[in-house]
This record gives sequence, C-alpha cells and structure tokens, in this order.
Amino acid sequence: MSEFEPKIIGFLCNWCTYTGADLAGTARIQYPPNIRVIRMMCSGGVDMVYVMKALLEGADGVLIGGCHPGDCHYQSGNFKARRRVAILKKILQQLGFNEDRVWLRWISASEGKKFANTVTEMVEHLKKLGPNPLKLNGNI
Amino acid sequence: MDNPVVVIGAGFAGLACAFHIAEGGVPVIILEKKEKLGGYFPELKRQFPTNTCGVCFMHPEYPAYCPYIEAERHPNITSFTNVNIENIEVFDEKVIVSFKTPNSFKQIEAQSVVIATGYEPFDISKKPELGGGIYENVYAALSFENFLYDLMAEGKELPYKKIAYVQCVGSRDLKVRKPYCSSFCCMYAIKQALLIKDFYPDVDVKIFFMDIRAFGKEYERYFREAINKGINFVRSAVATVRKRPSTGKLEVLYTKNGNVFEDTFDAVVLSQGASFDEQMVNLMKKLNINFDIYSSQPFDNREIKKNVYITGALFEPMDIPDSVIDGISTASLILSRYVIKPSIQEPSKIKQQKATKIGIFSYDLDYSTDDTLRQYFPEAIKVKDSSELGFAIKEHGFDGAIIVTNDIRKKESIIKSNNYFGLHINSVALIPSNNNALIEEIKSAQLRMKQVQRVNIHYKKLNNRVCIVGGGLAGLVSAKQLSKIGVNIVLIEKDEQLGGRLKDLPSRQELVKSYIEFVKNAENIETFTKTELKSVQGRFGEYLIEIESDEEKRKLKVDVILIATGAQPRKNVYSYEDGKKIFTFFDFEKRIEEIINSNCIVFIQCAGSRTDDNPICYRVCCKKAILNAIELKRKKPSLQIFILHKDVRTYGYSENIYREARALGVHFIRFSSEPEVSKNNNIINIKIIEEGTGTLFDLKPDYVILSTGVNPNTDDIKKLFDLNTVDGFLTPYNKKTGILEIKNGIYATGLCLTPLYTDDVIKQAEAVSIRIALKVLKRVFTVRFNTAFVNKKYCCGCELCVKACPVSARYIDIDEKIAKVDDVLCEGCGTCAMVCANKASQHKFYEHKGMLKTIDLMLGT
Repeated sequence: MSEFEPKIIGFLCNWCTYTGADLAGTARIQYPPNIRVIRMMCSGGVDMVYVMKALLEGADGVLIGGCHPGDCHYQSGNFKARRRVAILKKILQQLGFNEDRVWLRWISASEGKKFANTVTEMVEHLKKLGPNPLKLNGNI
Repeated sequence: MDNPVVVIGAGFAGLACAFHIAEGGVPVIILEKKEKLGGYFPELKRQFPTNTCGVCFMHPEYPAYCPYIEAERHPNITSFTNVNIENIEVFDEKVIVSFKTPNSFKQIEAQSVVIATGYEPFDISKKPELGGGIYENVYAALSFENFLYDLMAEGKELPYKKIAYVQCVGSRDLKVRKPYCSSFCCMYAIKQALLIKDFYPDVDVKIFFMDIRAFGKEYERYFREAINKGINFVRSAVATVRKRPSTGKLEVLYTKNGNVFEDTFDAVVLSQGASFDEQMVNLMKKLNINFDIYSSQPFDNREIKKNVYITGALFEPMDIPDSVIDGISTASLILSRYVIKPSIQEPSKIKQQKATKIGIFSYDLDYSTDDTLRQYFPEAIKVKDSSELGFAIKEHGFDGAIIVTNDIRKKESIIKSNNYFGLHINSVALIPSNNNALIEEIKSAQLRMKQVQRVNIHYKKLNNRVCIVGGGLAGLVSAKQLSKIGVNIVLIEKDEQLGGRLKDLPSRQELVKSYIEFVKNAENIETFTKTELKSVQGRFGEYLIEIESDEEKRKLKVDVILIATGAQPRKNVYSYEDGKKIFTFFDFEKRIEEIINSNCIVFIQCAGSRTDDNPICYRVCCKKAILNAIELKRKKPSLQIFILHKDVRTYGYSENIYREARALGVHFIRFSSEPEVSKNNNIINIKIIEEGTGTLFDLKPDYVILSTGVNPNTDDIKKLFDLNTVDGFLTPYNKKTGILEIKNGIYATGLCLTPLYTDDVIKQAEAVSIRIALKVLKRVFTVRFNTAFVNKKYCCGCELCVKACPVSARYIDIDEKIAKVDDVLCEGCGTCAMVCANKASQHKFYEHKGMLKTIDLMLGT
C-alpha cells in the first residue's frame, strides 16, 4: 500500500493568504500538492459549517488562512474567524475528534514562503495523525 | 492636450500625484532613478501610527493593491526606471525633459513636469563621532528596521538586550549643513521602539532626544503609548558613541541638564534625517532655481517655473500622510486646467445564471507548464492580452473562463477588465512542484463555476452635485477647485457671511476675500448662508439632504457630502483667562498695537493640551507663537519675551525660525508642571520651574498669550452622520493614506479633520476636491459584483447580519421587517452570510449550497 497522502481543504482569504499562495506558485516555491484551495473573500466569511462539512466528507485537515491581526481588509474579519475557530475546536474536542486537524494561520500576501512552509508542516503533521477516522468507518 | 505629464520620482508623493492625473484621463510618464517604483515605501512594512501596512487604500478606487503595482497596471501610466535626468527645458507651452535609460537616450515633450524626487536618508558616516560607519553595531535607522523585519519574520531572537536611539542625526545640525527638522524621525524611532517592545518585551530601549515632535493626527497618543509601554525617553544631547574594546559594548556619552552621563548599550541606532540627493540639486541648478535651506520657506510656491511643479518631501520634509495630500493637491492644480474625462464603461445587460460552457486560457505561461496544460486540456487556448481573450470568448461563445497565468498582476487585471463581458472568471494559483495539482485546481475551478451563480457588475447614475458643509477657508477652496473642474456645488454656511474664522484675521482677509469673490461669481455654485443641515439620508450617489434657514426648508439630492465645518479657538481653558491681559493666540493679531507698548510678554504653549485629559498636540501653536514673537522682537528689540513650552515642535523648515527667535533673544523655558498664574491688582505673576535645571522663574508680564489650540465643530455633524471622532476630530477611513475619506461618499477637509496651518488647509482642500471630482465626474459608478443578497422568504429580521457588517451596509427595512443590503456600501466580505442562522443572507459567488457542493466535489465524494 502506498504512503498515506492527506487531503487538505484550504479556505484562504482573497487579500492575504490567497495572494500569498499565488506568490508561492509564481515564485516556484515547492510545496506538497495535497491542498485544495477555496478562495473566500475574507476569513470572516468562512462558515464553520463548511469546515465541519469538509471533515465529515473525509478531508484529513482544514486550513483557514487570513490576514495578520490588524491588517484585515474588512477591519475585523480575521478576529471573527479566530473566535469561531476557537469555539469549533472546543466542540470538536467534546466530540472526541482531534482538533489539530483544523489550522488557522495568518499569512500575508508577501509571505509565499510562509504559505509553502505551513502546507508542508501541515501535511507532515497529518501524516503522523493518520487518515480522518470518519473516512474509514463513518464514525468517530 | 496630447502631451503627457511627466512625474520625476516615484515615491509616495510622486505616485499619488501620478495616479490622480492618470485617473483624470491625462497620460502620465513616471521617471524613477532606482530600479523599481515605490521610493522608500516598500522597505517600510509597518507604519506609524497604526503599526500596519495601509497602502492599499491610497488609490482613488479602493480597494486596490500597492501603489507601485497599480502604477505598472494603469493604462494611462508609462514608467521608466533606472533613469538619469539630463535636462529640463521650460518653454511657454511645453516642457522638454531629456533623460537617459541604461539602453537609450530619450526626449519627451511634456505639458507639465512634477518633480517629486523626495529625500535620501542622511549618510551616517558623516557623523563619525557617533560611531556612524565605524562600528557594525551602530545602525542607520532604515537598515535597522530591515534587520528587525527579517528577525521578526524568521522568529529569531534579537541579539541585543539594550538599544539606544539617537535622534536628530543629520537634522537640526548646522555642522553637517542640515538646519531643518526632518519631521518624521521622531515618529519612526517611536514606531521601531514599539515594534521591539511588542516582539521582544525584555529588551531595554532608550531614546535620546532634543524635542519629541509628534505633531500629526493622533501622534501624541502614540507617543504616550510608547511611554506607557516602558520605553525610556531621555532629553539630552549625545556627544559621542565609543566602543569599549574589552567588552565590545557601546558607551554613549551624553549631557543632560548640564551634567555629563555615560551609559552602555549593545547597539545604537542613529535616526537619520532627510537630505537631498545631488542629482536633484543639479536639476535645480539647471532650472535656475535657488533655494535656501536656511530660510523658513525655501519654495514660496509649488509651481517653481511655468508648468514645473515640485511636491512631496522635496517641498519640505514630511511624512506619508502629508506627502499623499501634497501629491494629490499638485495633481489637482494640474488637472484643474483641463476638462477631466474619466473613463466610462457601459453597463452589461446579461442576467445571472450558472456557467455552462467554460473556456480554459493560458496566458503568458512558461513552456513546460503550457505543455502540461495542453496535455490534459487540449482545448486550452493560448492568448496574449485581454483583448485577444475577449475575442476568443466571443468567438467560441463561452460564458465562463479560467485563466492560467504566472503573473498575479496580469491575472488581476484580466479579471478586472473582463468582468465587463459578464462572465465567470476564475484564476488558478500555480503549484509548480506537481503538475497534477495544477490540473486538480483547474478541475475544481471548473466544478465550482458550474455550481455557483455568475456575478455581474451593474451601474448607478450620478447627478454631478456635491454638498459642501461649511463656508470657511477649506470649504471655499474646495468649492473653487471643484467648480473649476466642472462639478456643481451646494455650499451651506451657518453664519450670515462666508469666510469662517479667518475673515476676522487682518492678515488673512485678502486671501479669504479672493475666494469669496470667486464663489459668488461662479455659475455652478449655489450658496446658502444662514442655513443649517437638518437631516441626511441615503448613501453615495443618492444622498437626500434637508437644509433649513429662517425663511425656508429645502430638500436636495447630492452625490457626495464634503464636511468642512472647521473649528474655533479654545477659550476659557484656565480660570485666570480674562480676555484683557490674558487672552488666546487668536486675539493676538487684533491687539498687536497695544501689546507692543508693553515691556514683558509671556506665551504659554500647550495650554490645556498634551495633558492626560487632553492628549493632543494642536500642531500650529509653536510656529504661530514663534512667528508672533519674532514680529514683536523686530518691531521692538527691548521687549522681553518668554515662551513657556513642553516641546518646541517647529518641524520642517520652521526649525529655522526657531533658531532665528533664539538669536533675536526670545527666551524659551521648558516646563513639565503647569505654571502658576496669579493676579493681584492688575499685576500678573507667573511662577514656573524650568524642567531640566529646576530653576524657579518669577515673571511679571504685562500680557499673557495662551496657545490653546482649536476645538473642532464636529458635535452636530457627528450625530447627523453617525461618525467617529478622536479628541473631537473626525476619524478618517484610513489614518495613513485614506485621510480625506470618512465613509463611502462622505469626505472631510480642514480643521474638523486635523489642526493645520492655512497653507496646509488650502492644500488639503485642493486634494479632497480632485478626489471627489474623479468620482463624481464619472457620471455612473460601478457597484461591486459579489455583494451580499437576502432571500426574503427566510429572513426573520434578527439583526445578526446588521451587527456583523464591518461597513454598515446591512440595515433592517422597517416596513418589511427584514434585513436588506446596501449594495453600494457592501464590500463583499461574506461575514453577514456566515452569521445568518437561516441562511437568508447569502454572498454572491459564495452561495451556501454552491459552497457545500464545491467541498464535495473537491473531496471527490
């Protein structure tokens, strides 16, 4: 059996992290291809239902990328995302689900390198955690 | 008209000027000495007083990217880098600029030239006594800032535990021929110190300074924040910086209150000031312009020769907010001579629907990626530019397009320009290591486009009418400038006469009269005096205002509202102010004849300001008091004048008048505890302790002039428009670059925004008028395409979305009792859609069902 390749869904904010990801691509910085990117206008617009949905459907990890605190294009979207993710993590914990599968990171438009590093790091981390238990047998 | 405007120097002021001219429909050529545009700005990742990067708000149509990316993209701007200016010849109707690029020699016939070459940081090796250029741990501030950013980005520790900042290196220093104050060094030193404190709290920071010149909007608060965070400010003069060979540490020798002290540090940062580069000096020589940096105003006018303007830090050392204003106002001067024709696009009429036929386009890809793309998607079409793309789309009948390209900027510009085709456009982030990933990306983009609704741009019409509230100087200047450009104006003034506060000042009467004359005679200005603004409804493009005077009530429709309500001098700050012998600086001019016959005068600066209750610097008082003192001293040298102050904030070339005042024998006494003033039988007695030496001065002046600053008239306006204020002054959209916008469609200028000198008020009013004109003269404006929308069936009117919206674009419709979207204000962030429990609020292009399906498709389930 070949090595387990985790699937990551990335919800990236249009202004910072998505542009950063784009920069990583244009600068030809190498990073694993395990991430599927969904561009959002703001990390504050990421519904936690989407994160749950992705996990339920078998994503091994979810990355939410936003602007650095204070740099949000919409003033406070990233803070809202931070609060929601904190709550979501608590809920996941209660359900007995490893909350480390959901990552929230601040990556600005100029930090292509940081984006690549984050994805690499996350893939390595998820490989250690193993596949999403929901994918294997449908229960936690 | 066909000749372009040449802007020399692509720093902040130059780019601000270039953008606005280009937006007005005039071609612009930017010439830059360095390899890339942006000046020193790209090196400064964080800026005071917000400690963030706030540049994307600068361009006329926000949101936008950094100015130097915009400059490359703007259709009316051509830029040349690595340019060496050879000559500038001024003729009656044109200016010929000849310059060298690395490959060629060029001559351009320009209609006008803007010189915005700015400054160069002072070379610290000219100060060897401070260790500049000798020791490796003595840094120039700019290089230290870069060093700091690198450390912070990599998460490394700062190798120094104790850092000293030495201020005024290469400014306020006659020895190195820099007589002026560079205006921005105090603030960037505080910024760096705060950054150090935020990231490395254990590090000790000491700032050795002469005066802290935090004179800008809310800068005093920033300074106080630094003190509260434990940054040490030491008022002193630094004599030498030496390295002790045994420890490798730096010894700083400084004098404070006449005593010599010594302290050791791990690193010393020299806050370098502004100096002019030689190329600019040569250029000025060629233009036959003599400017004397020892005078208080080296340039009287921004038009130094016919059709040749200077702007930015070259005019006077200034920080970013000031240079943005300066650059825009220069653009305003140039544009007011032409009929502005902003580009107008026709609205598209295609209805919303899901994409059915999606084309894949490769745009400027490198060979190998292009090859792979074709392998998987043989139908991919190669295009060279956006017009070719549009042509291909029409030919094949696509209603969606995926663009694969290497260049972010191109991608964005294609997306922007092609929204007018009424298409789904999606771009794809490249993942170079793995071609499969690219293919996956494209597939998922395809899937998503089939799931979500296509979005469309629509337009609204404007009436070309602007309402100016306040007929003071700021209001009059903007009215004149706007009417010249061709905008219709409604000018509202509370008082019986126009002219505001300045019509009472003898020295300014002439100036104000000339503007009033123009405003009265102009055809497109409607003036309402003794009239007040009663109510405001609506939003940008469709404001409905109600004005009321004694005789009548009226309702008017306007596009934009400009607030210029100004300010009035603060009065009765102290109980001892009697208006006879002790009065405010505003009455000084009227009573000068009376004052000159006395023997002793005292000016009390910062009266009731820069205290814990009122932490604000009113910016104008220091220069005003010193100018008044000089005037008195010139007329009557025997007159004794004392200026009691907390810091002397004569920034820029005003430093020269400070020096002049001291030479004339004006006494400056610094205090930290409030002076004690008592009156006994018409004899005034002031007791004051000088801060440094502790000497007690007992003064018996004939007159006391209080520099009390100004109180902005914003109380009514604040309530009417629901605005925010700090210290009574209106808070702008962005503190660094979007200084003139308060909200979408509401602008402000003059003293209600920030305390300013008369000259600066004129500049600011000119700047705000061009920004308004560029928006209003378009006649139509585009509404953002991916706004939120509401599904009426599910909305329960719970107001969650109203609370969540960062730009107050959501409101509750009182009749229908459901939430609605103001699609003009909506910035399309999707936050309201997220908080909506019923999913009644949805975000176009990010609809809930579509998003869930997209996740499914991406995971292949």
